[in-house]
Amino acid sequence: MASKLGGWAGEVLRVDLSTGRITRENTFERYGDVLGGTGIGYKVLWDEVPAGTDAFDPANKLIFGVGVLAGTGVPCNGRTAITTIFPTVWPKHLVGSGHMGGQFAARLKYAGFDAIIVEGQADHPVWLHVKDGTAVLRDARSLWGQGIRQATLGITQEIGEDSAVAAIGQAGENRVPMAVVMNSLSHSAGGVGGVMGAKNLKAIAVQGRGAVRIAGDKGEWEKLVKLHLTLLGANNQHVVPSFPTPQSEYYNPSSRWIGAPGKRWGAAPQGVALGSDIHSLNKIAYRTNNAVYFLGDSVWKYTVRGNGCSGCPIRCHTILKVPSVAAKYGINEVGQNTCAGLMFGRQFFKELVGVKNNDAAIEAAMIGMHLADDLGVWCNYMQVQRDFIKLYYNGTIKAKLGADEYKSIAWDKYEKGDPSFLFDLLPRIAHKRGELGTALGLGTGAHLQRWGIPETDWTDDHSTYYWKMGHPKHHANEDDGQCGVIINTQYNRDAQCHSHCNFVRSGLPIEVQKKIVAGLWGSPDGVDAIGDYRPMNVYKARRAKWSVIRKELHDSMSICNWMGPWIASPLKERGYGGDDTIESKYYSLAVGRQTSREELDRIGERIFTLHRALTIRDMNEVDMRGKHDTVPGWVYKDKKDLPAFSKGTIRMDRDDIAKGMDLFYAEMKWDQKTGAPTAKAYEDLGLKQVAQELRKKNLVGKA
Amino acid sequence: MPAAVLSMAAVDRLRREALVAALAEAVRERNGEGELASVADLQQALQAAWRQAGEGDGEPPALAGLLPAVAEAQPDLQIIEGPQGEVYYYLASQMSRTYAEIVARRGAPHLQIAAEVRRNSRDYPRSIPLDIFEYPPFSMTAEQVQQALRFLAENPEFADITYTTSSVGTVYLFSTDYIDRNYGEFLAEHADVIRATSP
Amino acid sequence: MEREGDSRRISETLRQAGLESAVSRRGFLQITTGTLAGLAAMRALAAAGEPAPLIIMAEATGMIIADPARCVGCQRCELACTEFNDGRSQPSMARIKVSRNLNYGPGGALAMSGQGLWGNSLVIQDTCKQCAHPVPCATTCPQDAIVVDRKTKARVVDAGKCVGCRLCQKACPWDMMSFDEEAEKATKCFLCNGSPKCVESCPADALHFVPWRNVAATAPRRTAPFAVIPAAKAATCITCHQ
Repeated sequence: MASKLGGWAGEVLRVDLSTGRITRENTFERYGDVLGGTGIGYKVLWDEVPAGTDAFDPANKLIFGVGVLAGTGVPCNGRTAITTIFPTVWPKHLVGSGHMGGQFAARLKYAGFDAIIVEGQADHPVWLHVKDGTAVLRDARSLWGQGIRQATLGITQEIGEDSAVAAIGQAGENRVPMAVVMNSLSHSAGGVGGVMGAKNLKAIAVQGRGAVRIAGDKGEWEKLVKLHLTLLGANNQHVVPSFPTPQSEYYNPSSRWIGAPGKRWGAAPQGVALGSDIHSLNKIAYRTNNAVYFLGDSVWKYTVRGNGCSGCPIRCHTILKVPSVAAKYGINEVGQNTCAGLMFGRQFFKELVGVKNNDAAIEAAMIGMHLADDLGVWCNYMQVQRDFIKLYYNGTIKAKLGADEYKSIAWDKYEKGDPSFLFDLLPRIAHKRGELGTALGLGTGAHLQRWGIPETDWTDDHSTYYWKMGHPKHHANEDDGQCGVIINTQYNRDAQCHSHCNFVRSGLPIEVQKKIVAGLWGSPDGVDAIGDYRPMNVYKARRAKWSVIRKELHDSMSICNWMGPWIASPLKERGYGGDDTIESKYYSLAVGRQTSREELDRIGERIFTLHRALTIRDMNEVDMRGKHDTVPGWVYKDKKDLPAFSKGTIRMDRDDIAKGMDLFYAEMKWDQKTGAPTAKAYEDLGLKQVAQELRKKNLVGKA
Repeated sequence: MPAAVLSMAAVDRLRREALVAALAEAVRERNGEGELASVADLQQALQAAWRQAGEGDGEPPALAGLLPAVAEAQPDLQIIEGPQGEVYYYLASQMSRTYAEIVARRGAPHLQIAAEVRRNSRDYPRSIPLDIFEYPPFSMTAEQVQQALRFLAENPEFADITYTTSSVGTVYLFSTDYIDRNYGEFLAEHADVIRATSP
Repeated sequence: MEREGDSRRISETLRQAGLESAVSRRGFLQITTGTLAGLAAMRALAAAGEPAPLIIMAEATGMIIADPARCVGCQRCELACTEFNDGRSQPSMARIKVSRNLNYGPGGALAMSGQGLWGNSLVIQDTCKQCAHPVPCATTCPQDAIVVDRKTKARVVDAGKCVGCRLCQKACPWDMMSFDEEAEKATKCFLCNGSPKCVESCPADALHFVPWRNVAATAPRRTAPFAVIPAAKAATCITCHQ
């Protein structure tokens, strides 16, 4: 029984919205070999969703998956993976996952479940109430049409405060592909909101008083958690502060560890001074202030506090109180989010992109959070804003909109960088209003297609950050040379992998990084200084493989890949190294089965390979190398025409990247010609049946 | 044991140990404040300890004679020189070398800027934003920064210190001893723009 | 349970401490619980291994106080409480209570009182007051299962005596009693033998373990307590309150 193993809640909930039938399955027996999270998601899609299913088809399934560490005190757990046939993948919907933090993952476990599989389509709007091992579908007609906040409040008033509600806004209801599912006010999973809307599912509320059992010795567990805490830096595992301090040998002005002595949460009731003991484990939460990081130093005075997921000491969301927006725009003066969600509004304005310490930029950010996080509009890692700017300033929007629609939009406000422009624009997207709203809500791939724009206009233009299949790059060659490129070829949406970039952006000197890499992958050549890339080698291929495996592992254990892995640390006495076995140590103690790093990584590889198999099957294409693992043209260009491998360029060399793919496929034991896993690669990972099914369709790589 | 029965030699030894401990404590205290201990700081601590020991009339032993014993008692005691050759002390357990170097150059903003630019260009490597010098522990005024930059520009020994402006207008500095212009420009853009637009 | 013996011990204790005069003509105890802490005789009794008087308890040596302005709502305190003490992650059983106030404040979602994440973002952390006499949870316990910890003088549940009747949960005006559903026993903050795990685990320096003071009089109540005092124990009360 799973419950005896610890870690797992023990059951997976299956909800058929078409019939209203709710059933349960034993997690460990059925899904133990894929852990949880995306692992369960991929397995369900593989076993149950026919190849070629459209994202909004009732046959598509939506799997809310968490993992063995969700709900525990492991730092930086708290992630829910929502896996589905993803609606912004272009030209064909394929497997993808959206990820959210907040309270949902923990409370799903306390409610007694490791995952919820949502299938079918309800004939009227419903919401799902999961509580202490039970689940019922409730009528959501009175919630339909409401924003995420009102829907969440209504449900909470009905069932009580000890719950977490994951809801869609109007965007999801209207089946906008660019829609999110959101819980805990500011924690969203991108791209999956429309799938939920297509199922007529407004929200899932999870509520429970149960426990996650730690199977191993509680004293050992406490020691491990405390060790882990010492390895933490700030957000993105930046392990050196952004300012020199007596306690640190290194600093990095670009670090997200910005809680310097003398800084204050200026909007806290009496103001909170952060103090000088920056390494104290009782002050980890003071290190990160992403609002200040992205909006500028002037935002300290608006900072109420940090916020984030259950159990996480790194508070990557910042709560801001900006009274002027209440007076000026009539919106809540308190807002919160992190990274792209925080910048959502600002990034639409050409003159405000990346601008700090600027009132209009701060107001645009506040309005963006106020609107997008209620309407449930997604940004596709800020691609929608880049698209909007490019399409407006190159005249395409004017050309594609009818004259009346174009005239109805206050473009003068837009050009002036007036944040109130967002009050018009964002509801258009959420409600698919007009040509502009409809097109922007599609996601880049389908949008370009609708307007007859060749994809190469984007793939050849570095300023778009566009990678392929409707999505942007996500930490590619700009951060990690060939490693970044390889990782960005592997997914159907943006890669969302941080294993590699958390390390190269850690802030440690390159020689220290090289020493750590040599210890883990066999040579200091496994990492280059950012922007000083050297030709490809096998060590980089190994690190790329490790990166994606750990990403999937984290996504399947509810660990935050925006923080882990922890191969670097702020600890001089460890040579600034971390602990690459921390995941397997946690797993062993939580579940109660001694599992080595290698054994756990093998499970991660199985999960990643299942994603590969799903992509191959659903594309009905074995030539992944030619048809899927593509690299945009801009990667091979340089503004100054600097050659690849010269200092100061992120330009890559075509032959070298080809070699990189060869080496990566070889490390994965995939067919180098097609980039498809061989039958043996599947079998070695316990995926024999997957191989058999693909072989029937001639979709297996040649040995 | 009452002091009266100690030999004079033993009394001397105990007194000396007390002075050594007081000196170590003085270094620790200054470091705790984020400062280096100057010779003047130590002289002051020595005088105070001497008075406390009830030896107000005589002169305390020379600081120089006690320092080897301080180093022995406190093996992480480090010495660092300021721009004028002045000597400062710190404990490695209390303060990093990097920080000590920054503090030691406090009277010479141009040297602080040059040293930090070179350190960052050499070790990480990276260009660094000019505005960090207005924040602690540098805490220079805008005028001091401008003055220092002028000095660096006019003196050939700092010819390697140069600047670039990112695409959103932030000034970054780097050293051409370690980073060529293309690289310095890229690193500025990466720090200022790429990191912010690829969060 | 030797109720009469208990009441005799209280009288005897007061006499030994020279505090007979503290009992008024009507028998009400006039002394403060602060005075009681100094009762040498009571300490002597405890040291001699005699069961301490069950109604009047020695004051706790310390208490946990919380600063809502610093709380970042991570709930690591609740998790440390149950993981490190009980080997399971279970905020519903934590002896410090933060989750319940996280989103809407102590008033909840219906009151919308303006606190919590959905209001001004302040998170109120509820901690045990380690009450002075009368200790609501201990007084109401028909099994005398809530006793004073020898080291910290925290009020703790003696699991051997607890029968899981939950009356203590009803009695606490701050709703700070927890219940271990697996063991079917009540549980409460026992100050982790003097090093509270929650305080240790707070990443925002929002919790502090400080010398005890009586905050019960001023801390706003969370619930209207329903305190049942067992008849036998009420008889003990009469010793002073007659």
